[in-house]
This record gives sequence, C-alpha cells and structure tokens, in this order.
Amino acid sequence: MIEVDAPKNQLVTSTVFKDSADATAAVVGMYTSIMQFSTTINFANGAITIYSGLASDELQTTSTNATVLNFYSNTISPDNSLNNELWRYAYEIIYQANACVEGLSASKTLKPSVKNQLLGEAKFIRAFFYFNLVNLYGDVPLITTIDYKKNAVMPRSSITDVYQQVINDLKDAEGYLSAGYVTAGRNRPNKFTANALLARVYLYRKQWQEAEAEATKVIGAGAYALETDLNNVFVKSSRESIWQMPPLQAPLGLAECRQFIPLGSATPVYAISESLRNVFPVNDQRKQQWLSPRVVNGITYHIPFKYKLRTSATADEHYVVFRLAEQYLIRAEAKAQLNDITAALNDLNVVRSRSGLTNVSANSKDVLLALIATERQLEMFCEWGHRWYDLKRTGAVSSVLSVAKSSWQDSDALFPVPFNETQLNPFLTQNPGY
Amino acid sequence: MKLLCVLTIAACIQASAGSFAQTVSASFTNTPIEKVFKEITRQTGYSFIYQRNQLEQTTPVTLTVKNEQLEQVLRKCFEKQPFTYTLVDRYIVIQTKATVTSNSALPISTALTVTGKVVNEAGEELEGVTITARKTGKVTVTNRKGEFTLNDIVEDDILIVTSVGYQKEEVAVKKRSFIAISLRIEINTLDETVIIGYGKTSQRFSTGSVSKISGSDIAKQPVVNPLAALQGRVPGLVVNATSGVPGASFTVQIRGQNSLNPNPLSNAGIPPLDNPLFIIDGVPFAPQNYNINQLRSVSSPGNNPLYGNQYGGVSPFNAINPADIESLEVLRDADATAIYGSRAANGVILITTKKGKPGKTKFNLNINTGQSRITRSMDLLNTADYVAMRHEAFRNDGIIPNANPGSVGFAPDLLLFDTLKSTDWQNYFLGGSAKMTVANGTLSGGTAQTNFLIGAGFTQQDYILPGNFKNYRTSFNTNLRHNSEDKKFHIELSINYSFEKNHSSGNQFLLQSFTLPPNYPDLLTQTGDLLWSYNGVQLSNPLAYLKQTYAVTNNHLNSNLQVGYQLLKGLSLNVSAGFNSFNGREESQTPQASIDPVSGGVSAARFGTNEFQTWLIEPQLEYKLKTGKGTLTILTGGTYQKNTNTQTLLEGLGFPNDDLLGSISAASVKNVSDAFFEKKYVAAFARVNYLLHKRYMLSLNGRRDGSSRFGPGKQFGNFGSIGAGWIFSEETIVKERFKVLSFGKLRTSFGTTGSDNIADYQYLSRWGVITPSYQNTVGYTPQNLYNNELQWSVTKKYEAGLELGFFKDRLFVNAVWYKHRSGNQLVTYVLPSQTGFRGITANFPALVENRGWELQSSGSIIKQKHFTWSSSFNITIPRNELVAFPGIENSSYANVYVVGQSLSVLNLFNYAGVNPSTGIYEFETKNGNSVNPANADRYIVGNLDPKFYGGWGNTFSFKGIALDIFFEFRKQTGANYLQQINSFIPGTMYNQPLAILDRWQKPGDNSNIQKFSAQPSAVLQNAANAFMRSSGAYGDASFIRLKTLSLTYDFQMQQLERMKLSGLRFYVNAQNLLLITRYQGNDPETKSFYSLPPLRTLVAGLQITF
Repeated sequence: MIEVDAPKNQLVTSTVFKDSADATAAVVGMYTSIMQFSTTINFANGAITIYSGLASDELQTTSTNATVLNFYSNTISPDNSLNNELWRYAYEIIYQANACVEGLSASKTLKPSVKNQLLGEAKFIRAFFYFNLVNLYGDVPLITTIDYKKNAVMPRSSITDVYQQVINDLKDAEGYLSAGYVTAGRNRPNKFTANALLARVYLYRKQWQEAEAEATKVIGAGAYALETDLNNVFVKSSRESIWQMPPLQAPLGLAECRQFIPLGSATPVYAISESLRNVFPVNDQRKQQWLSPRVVNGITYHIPFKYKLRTSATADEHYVVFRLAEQYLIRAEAKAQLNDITAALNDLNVVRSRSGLTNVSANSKDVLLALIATERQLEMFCEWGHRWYDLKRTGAVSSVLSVAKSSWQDSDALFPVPFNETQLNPFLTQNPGY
Repeated sequence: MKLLCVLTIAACIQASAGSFAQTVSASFTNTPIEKVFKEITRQTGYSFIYQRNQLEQTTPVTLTVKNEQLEQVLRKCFEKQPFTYTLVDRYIVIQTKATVTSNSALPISTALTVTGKVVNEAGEELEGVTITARKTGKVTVTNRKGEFTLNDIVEDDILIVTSVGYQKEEVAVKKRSFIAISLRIEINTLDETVIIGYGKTSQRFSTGSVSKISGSDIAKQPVVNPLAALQGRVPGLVVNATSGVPGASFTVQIRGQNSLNPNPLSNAGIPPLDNPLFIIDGVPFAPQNYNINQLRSVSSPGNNPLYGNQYGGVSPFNAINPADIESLEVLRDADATAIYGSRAANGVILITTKKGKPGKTKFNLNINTGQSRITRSMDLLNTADYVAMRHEAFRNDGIIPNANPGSVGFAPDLLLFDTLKSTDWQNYFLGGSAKMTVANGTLSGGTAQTNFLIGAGFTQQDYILPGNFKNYRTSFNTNLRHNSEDKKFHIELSINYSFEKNHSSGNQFLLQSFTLPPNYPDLLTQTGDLLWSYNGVQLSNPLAYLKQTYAVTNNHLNSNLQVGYQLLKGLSLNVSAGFNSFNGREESQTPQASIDPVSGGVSAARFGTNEFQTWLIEPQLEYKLKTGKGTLTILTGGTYQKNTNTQTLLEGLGFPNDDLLGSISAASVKNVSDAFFEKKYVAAFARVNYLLHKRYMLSLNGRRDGSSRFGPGKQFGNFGSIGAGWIFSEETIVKERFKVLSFGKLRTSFGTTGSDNIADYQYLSRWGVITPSYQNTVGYTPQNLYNNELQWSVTKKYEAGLELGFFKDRLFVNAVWYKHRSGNQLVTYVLPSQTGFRGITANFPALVENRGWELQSSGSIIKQKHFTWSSSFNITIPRNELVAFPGIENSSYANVYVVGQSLSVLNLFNYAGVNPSTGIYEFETKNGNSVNPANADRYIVGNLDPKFYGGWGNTFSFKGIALDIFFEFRKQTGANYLQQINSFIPGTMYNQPLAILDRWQKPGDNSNIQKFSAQPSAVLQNAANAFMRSSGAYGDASFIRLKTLSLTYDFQMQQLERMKLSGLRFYVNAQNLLLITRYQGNDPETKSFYSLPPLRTLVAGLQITF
C-alpha cells in the first residue's frame, strides 16, 4: 500500500544488471557522461587537453576569465571553479565505472561473453580516469567501491598504488575484451585499447620492456595503420584511431572543437603558443594541416586545427582518444631506453615521414630520446595532455617551463586539490605549494 | 435599536433536563431579581430570557422556600414584579405585563398565532433563540427543534430574532402564520466558526492556534493571488512577494525556518523554503507552493543573486480565485496541526471555498477595474552624469577610451553614441501602468435540505513591461449539498476549476534592461526593425527579449465529495474523497528574428509539461457524547493519499521558419527529457476532545503515519499531541471580582509531528536514462547514492496562550508563546565529490528552534448608532536558532552555520569602508583592514529573519460607508542595491542609481562606494565580489506599508427596495498604496535592484446582489 515503484524513466540497480541490454546501457552511460556538453568542458571531453595545454607551453589564451588565466599562469587557486569541475567529473565517471564493475560482477544472469566485454570496458574506463588523475594531481583517493560512507573519508593513495590499480584493471580489461569492436566504428574500447593504455602506463612507469611489448601488440594487430593524409587522422573512418568517441549531437559538434574553432570571424579564445609553433620544422605537414591561422584586428592567431569542423551535421569527426602514432612513439622511446637505437629510429621515422619529414638518425641514446620527445611534442600537441604529462614524467617540467613562464614554481607541476573537497573530506590533504 | 441586549443567564450551561431538580430551596432577603434568577438557574438549570430594561423597575425579592416546585417559586417571585413569564422547554421567558395589557386591547380579528422555525446557515435547528415581537413586546424562545410559537401577534408586526453568536435578524410577519428564519453567524466573535483539521471549532473552545481570514477581508484587497491577501494579517505567518511580475510566486512560512539548507556551499545564507501544507476544501493542493516552472522567464529568472529570487516562477496559487474563498485558516501549533500529521510539520493553511446557503436564490455580481504601477524605484543617472561617470572611470583606470571594438578601452557610448541623447530607460521598461479587470458572479440558494452555489470569475492583469504580456484566469466554483429529510445522511460535492494563462518574456535579462546607458541608440530602426548595429558597433537589443516569448497555461481542478451518515445517535460515519489536478504547460520561443544576425545563434523553442495530481480518501468515524456536564467527541479515521508529478521537456533548435516555432516537429535538433515522481502516504489517527462545564477543554491527538519516501522498515512513525484549555472567566470568583473581564482563557499544547520533506525515491538505488544516446544506444547513469536508513525527522511544538475579552467582549487581547524544535533533520548532506555525488539525503542530528511571541488585539473603539470604528493589531516577535549541531566543524556546514545563531545568519566579511588612499573596498581582518578578501575574516553581522512583523487594521463605518485601512509592518535586514549593482561595477557600460555619485574620487575621500572603473582590474573585481558577500551589502529593509485601503458604499434597505435589489455596493480598493521605509534600493520586500518591485494597484468596482 505504501510502496512505490521506481520512476518510469529509472530502474532500480538490481534490475540494471539482469540482462544484456540494460547492462550494456549502464556501460554505454559512461561514454554518454564523458561526452556530455555542459557550461564547462568535461574532464575527458576537452578539459584535459585545454587546461594542461595552458599549464604547459602549448596554448596561449585571449580569455579574460581569471579561472582560465590561472591555468595559463600556473597560479591555479584551490578555489578555481574549473579545477573543481575537473576533479568532480572524474570522480563521477569513476563512480559509474565502480557501479558497473560491482553490478556486473554480482550479476548471475548475464551471458559470460557479454559480462566479460562490459566488465572489460568498465575496468578500462576506471583505469583511464585514474591514469589521468594521478598525472594531474599526484596522489589521489583511490575509490573502487560505491560505499559512500567509506569513500567520503578516503585519504589520498600514493601514485604507485594508483598505478598498480590501473595496471590490474587494464590487465583484466585486456583479458575480458575482444580484439574486434562490439559496435560499428571504433567507439567502444577493445582489447587493443587496453594494450595501448598499458603501453603508455608502462612507459610512464619506466617499465621499458613491458611498454615495448604492449605497443607491439597494438602495432602488430593489423587493424591499424597510420593515415597518410593528415586530414584523415581525426575523421570517423580514421584507420589510425584505436578508440574514438562520436559527438552526442552531430549538429552541435565536439566540445573541444567549439572551444578551439571560433564562430565566424570572432577572436579565438585559444591559440598555439609562439614557442610551440617555432618547434615545427619548416616542411612539417602538421604545421600546415593541423594549425590554422586566423586574423582578427590585424593579429594572427594560430589555432589547433586537428579537428576542422566546429559543427558537422553528419558527425564526420570523432574525438580520438588513442591512435597508432602514439604507439610508434612509445615503442621508439622504450626501445631507445633499451638501447635498441635502430629499431627506435625506425619507429620514430615512421611517424616523421608521414608528416613529410626526412628520416633522422642518432648516434646516442640521449640524442635519440630528445628527438623522440620533440616528435611527441609535435605529433601529440593539444591531445589529452601529452605534453604536460611528458614534461613531468621525464623530469623536464621545471627546466622547460621556468623559461616559458615567469612565475613558474616547482610545485605547479601538480594542480591543487579543490578547496571545497578538502573542506568536505577532512582526510584529504592539499598538494604542496597551495 | 430597541433591544439593547438580550441576555440568557448561564446560557452556556447546557444541561439535560433530567439532571437538574425541578424544585427550589432558597432564602432571599431584599435580593435583586437578577440574583434570584441566577440562583434559580443554578438549582434548576432553567434559563431566564429577558431584556435588560425589563428589570429596571423590579422590586427586590424577600422569600424563603424549601423544596418547592419551580412554578410555585416563580409565581411567588413575580407577584410584585411588573412582568410575568412563560415557560418554553427549559427557558423562562419574561413578559412585561404592561405591554401585554395594552396590546391585548387590539381587535382580536387582527391577531395572529405565529409559529416558525429558526435554523442556521448550515440548516441546523437552533435552540434558545429569542423571538420578540416589536409591537406587542411578546417574547418567546425556540425549543430544541428550533420551533417557536407566539400568540396574539398583529399581522404587520416585526419579529426580532436574536441569539448569541448570530447576527440579529428582523422579519416582517406580513400576515404569515408560519415563518422560517435563517440566522447568520455573527462576524468577529468568539463563537465564529473556525475550520480546523477534519472539523470545526470556535475561538472560544479552541485549544490550538488557529487564525482565520474571512472572504470579506480578502474581497477588500485587489489581489489576483490569494496568498497576497494574507500578508501581515496572521501572526506567525510571513508571506513575501518574490517579484512584482504579474503572477509571480510568494514565499510562505509559518513560524520560521525549521530545516537546514540542503546546499550550504552554493546557497550560503539562503534558506530553503519550509512551506506549510495547503489544503483546499479538504484536498491537499497538488503542486503546493513549489516552483511549477521548468523554463526560464521573467517570473523564473533563476537562482541568480541579481534578482534576489531563489524561488521564483509563476505561483501555482494564481489558479485559485480569491473571490471563491469563504475563509482561509492558518493552523500553527501542535494541537491544530497534529491531525494532519507529517504533512503539517511546517503548519497548515486551509482554503475553504464558498458554499451554498439556504434561502432565497441570490445572484451576486462583482465587477471592478483598475491599474497597477510599480511601488518604488531608484532614480538613475542622466546622460550628463552617466558620461561623466564613464570618463572618470577611464581616468581611474589610466585608459584612454577608444572606438576600436575588441580593444581595451573600447567605449562606444562615449565615442560612437550621441552623448547628448537621453532616454529614460527605467520609464521605458518599468514606467508603464498595467490594467486589471475582474468580474465575478455567483448564484446560490436552496433549502436547508438541498442547496447550491455556482460561481464564475474572470481576471485579467496586464504587465507594466512593454510588450503584449498578460496574466488571465477563468475560474468556476460549484458546491452542492443535500441532507436527507431525517438529517441522518448528507452529501456534499465541491468542484473548483480554473484555467490560467500567463504570457510574458522568456528572457530574464529584460528585467535589467533599464540599466542601458541613457544615451544608448533607439532600439528600433526607422523601418521598425530591431537595431543590431550603430555606427559600426554590434549592439545587444533588449527589445529582442520582448519577442522571446514565454507562456504558461495552468489547468487546475479541485474536487471533493463528502458523504456522511449518522449510524446511531451521536455516532456518524463520514467519508471524504478528493482529487486535485494541476496541469501546467509551458512554451518559450526564441525566434530567429530576435537573434542578432551575425551571432550565428539559431532559433529555439522549448515545451514543458508539469502535471501534479493528488488523490485522497479519508474515512472517519465521529462519536459525540454529552455526559453530565461535559461533551466528549471522538474522531477516528484514516488517510490514503497519493501524489504524482510528471514532467516532460522538449527542446527544439534550428527551426526553418519562425512561424513554425510552435511545433517541435519542425526543429532540426530535438532534445527530450522527462521525470516522474510518486509519493504515497497513509495514516490512521484519533482525536479525543473533552469539554467540561464549557470551561475545561482537553484535546488529544494520536496518529501513525506512513510515507513511501522511506525504505522498508522505516516507513512508519507515531506522533501525537495534547492540548488543554481553561476558560477561567467562567469561574465564579473571576466573574465576581473582575467584572470588566468578559472572557479569559488559558491554553497550552504540546506535540510532535514528523516530516518527510525530501525528494522521492531517495532510499532506492536507481539508474536513469541519459540523453542524448551514444551511437544510438541509450545509456543509463546512476541517479543517486542511496540511503536505506532514512527516517522521519521530528518537530516538537510547545505553545501557551492567554486569551482575554474585556468590556463585554468589545476588546480582545490574545498572547501566544511558542517554541518549535526540529531535530533528526532530513537534509541533503553535502559529500566530497570523490564519492561520485555531491550529496546524500540523510538524517542529521542538528536541532533547530523557532520560538517567539504572537500578540493580537482587536476591539471596537467606537460603537455608536451610525458610526463605528474597530481596530485590530497583531505582532510577532520570532527568533530562530540553531540550538545544536554536533560535529559542525567537520561538516560541510562549518562555514555557513553558527550554533546559537539563526539559520539565516550572515556569517560574512565585515565591510570596513573604502580605503581613503586606494579607493578600493576593504574588509576587516583580525590584524587590521585588508583589500584582499582572501585575508578577510568572517564575522556574524546579523541575520535575515524579521525581528518583528505584523499588521494593523482599522475599519470605520458611517451609515453605508465603510473605510478599511490596513498596514503591514516588518523590521528586518536585507540585501540592498549595493549588493546588486556591484555585479555591474559602477563605471562599466551600465547605468547606475544616482546614489553612486557619492563614490570615492581622490585620495583622502571617505566614501562607501569604491572608485569607478570601466575595465575593473582583478583587485577591483575581487573587492567588488567580496563586497557582495560582506556586511556592506546588507542594510535595514524594514518597512511599513499601507497594504490595503478600501472604501465602500452600501445602499440602504429603503433605496434597495425601490431598486428591487437586495444589495448594491460601490467600492474603491487599493493595494500597496504607500510605503514607508529607509531601505536603500527599490522595494524592501523583493530586495532587488534588478527585479520588478511589487505593484501598487487601485481598482474601482461595483457589486450587485439580487
């Protein structure tokens, strides 16, 4: 008499993981959440790229918004609302992944093939978010359950522990996921996406052999090839793409594109920094194809132009998260570290030649590593925080940025933990320097 | 008036005949006759009926009797008196001998024997009513069946019918031998019927705190929303307009805020609204007083501090025609509210619509029309001052204004606009007057057995904003009641229906458009199109907002069926079944024609539906027993209630043609979402009332409530209350010693009510559809952290009251002290985002107390034949306090609330003035003042609760003219214009109030307004932001408002007879006519510089009854 059913547009958790259609919807909900539009750009829908692009030496901005400028000047206040949102979105998606992992694991009615596929995706997403969180914030609370009472007072875990969880999740995901894609296109992660992130994680952890092995799995998969035309790398049909996400509403385009590509003749909010533009060799096709000059009031702004369509009714461009070129560069770096100079140069030159550059050679490991670092800067610019993460993992961040940024301090390498969060969780400590 | 007063001695003692002796034993020595009567009454229970002047020439009685029959004793007493008596049931009616003698000489042919029957408006037979024949002076009283007989009456005589608690009635005999008389309840007495939960009572015998606003008080106020009519009239009740936009909502709170703010981090200082429960004719109003709008509009500007309007929206109460209301009752304490259980933790407002009355079929038509304007605004800078402000601002910034769009120092208003042009934009946007037209008609009549009422009303109110905006309502009210011939069975059906439409702008920025620079170019081109560029500059054009329309259409149906049957003597079964449906439909349109062509924006249309429904069934069994000297009433019953709310929202973008904006199917992008809510509520309750000797009252309530908002095992809670009263003025010692005291009552109550005032489904772990889909696959996302430990929060209410009547009830004074404590608070507790959500609904051990005094007095100051002056006054002195909050320092409320302070505490920076050397706002820190708000410390600088509030009403009447004046007053602190104008820092391209000219100009200046700036630096901007959160942005917002002024003229009986009408009235009503305040800003009620102040309305009308 007094009981009510769940509202018509909602399901209670116990029914969500009963059958494959509902369980799939729960997992797909993670991608929808990731790609949601809102007033601020979401964690994995432009925010990592733009904020770390500002914090490193990739982007400059015409914004007068103090919260944006703080990233550019590396003076992010713990009150910064964009930083608050960055943190919050990440943990929202992590909750979804945790809820999926728990629900799927507990389900006794799902077909094992479906269950494995979905479990693999959920663990992959969890790993992907933690990978980004440790690179932005350092130690972070490692939440792997949905028990709010425990989670609300969870202190930060060490980077090592978080990476261990990431590696475990990715190994699970590799085992659960199939080599093919479950749906048309490359919109949901497959086994090779897990390998691709594992390769990156091992590279960051300086586990060179493992990194090389994982990258080799992806390169050797046969499903992927570098697009010869740079204009085809970020399109829907890109053969280079390992995992890419379509815009939720084609006519509105991708969130990041709306940030980078100004409407009509308006002043661009973000442009490539002078220093980055100067790194491109003269003949680099990427400079021609992936940058676009815009002249407003006599000033020329070079905007990132990997994606070229502010809007597209047919969703021609998808948001690429992992692509093959990075795997070549990972393997090149791993092999260089393992002193396999020739093989490393081969991988490096595969990427260079695609951009119309001549092959390079190197006679020492250090020279080679420097070449690879530059190539990563040029190939992966304004993608997923690569430059910012690379500077930090290689220990170059302070030496590079103290030149480019007048107010640089060593502690700026980590974003601050949002102030509100430290207020709400008394066990959450702040990063040094904030 | 011949009969000054008719008294019945000890009429209050209602005794059954058998319980008193029919014999008398007494000894009188020169005893005044009145004392003899009293003694006889005491011994026999027989009441005497007489006129005061009849006793003027009596002889004192000397007599000793022992166990003598009553009639014997009476005969002996009356031997030497100038009158005789007749016995009617238990009444002894005194008849003056002389009159009888003189009239007995009349020719017998003209004498009549008249019989008749007296009933009240509800058709109940009235016992003990005095009937006096004017010419013959013959007197009698009605028996238990309300019947009377008068012999030897002249055929053109007039019967004067009087009874305590009823209005005097004069009836012409007109040769009739049977006369049916219906008496109307006397207004403003202790015995006026007061509606309470599942029953009625009177002020006299109530043990709870109930205030009543009658339909006649509402009729004097030219208001569209019945909530507006409550302002200032009820102690303990604060009703506040959120905006002057026609149809805008009102906030309503009884005895303060009981619950913590659910979102302390984002909404500091703004309490959520603890709304009372609203019940219309026994049925809970489905949308209650919540925001029913999903779309933005000028009435829903959003939770934006600019408009000071956190609640907003079109008020659901617009659906109720004030003219259909018979009375509004406000129930406050535990005793009065306990019967509504958990729904009533924040008090109850009962709305009772007009009912049919037995008697001649009457048609009443009431028409009025008038105009509204805004109450108060601030003068703005003229062009010369504005231009000077801008130049000074640029000088302060060290920037030379230029004409290059996009560059620092770009100042089109100084260099490209005509600096001599002057437009009063405030007058342009807010200076208009809005027409209001109201027409109401009712037809009612029937017999005591079957009666009916049919009413219809139409109201139209325009907007003062430019544009073709309107708020209108058509409403119907019907009521049908039937009693079976044996009175054992009754059935009553009430149906109210209304259709309401509010048509305005969907762009809230329209509200602040009056701050355009005074030299802004004309908004229309010469061809009448919107101007988008001027001298090569792109412009925004507020006239576009007028084209961005918003319309909300609400259909409201309230129906209630009550069936009752008397099973046995004293035992009756009643069933009430109700259905309330409130369906809102919203539509907002942004046509391409309203968008700057170069902006690239696309046309858009949004469509929302919001449907609320409440079903209710309540069976009740009532048992009334008169035992000895007391009356026992037991009411037991149950409630089953179901509330549903369904919302849909469609958004269409990119329409091929503006003419197709009304059709979602024409949109190139469509977004769809919906939401569903359902709540079930069951309860069983019992109420026991015992009234002893008509002076001792006891009331007990007990109930068990169940709510679907809690998980299995937690759904039910037990609550109860106890109330007691003592009419001490009935005690002999008080009667003899304190003659001026005609009524005195002490009462007290204590009780508990629960609250389930949280969102539905919080105990369920839920997943919901997320849109749009990913790769055409629908996705689900988790909706909440679930908490299956949720349980009832509990409010304990204590109250004590003293009610006094002086000088034969000409003056009443009433004082109440109350204390409500809400614990085990149900709040959305804020969590760190690492949990995946921002909060969880949970019980929380904070304890909130509301306590205070409510004082009321009313009296007739002058009561002469042709002139009367009556006055009433009420004042409430409330105090809100967070009594306890274990662990506050580690909670998310640490920076918001302070234990020992009000929930509306202003825990803010202390503004320290403008630094005389830098011209920038400074704030207090523990180590001196600082411009950097990051260093500033927080101080308790006050709170937003009213310190006291109330109303003062006066009614003067002279012959047919009546003048009614009502003042509302409130002492409070509020945000003033300085808070809002710092959102658009003075010196930027917005016009400002004249008051800002008192700014800092040069080193050494002492000012309260920091230096002008055209391009505020981060330091200046931060200081302005901090200022808005500092004590500097708050000030005195107290006011006295001439709320209502009503002047009416009623035509007199003789004139009406000539016109063959039974009533004709001309009237002029005014609302918000005058405001006395020191508030800095527009209106201290809306407290926002950028929202529309309340409206001042004046109407003239006419009311005809025939």
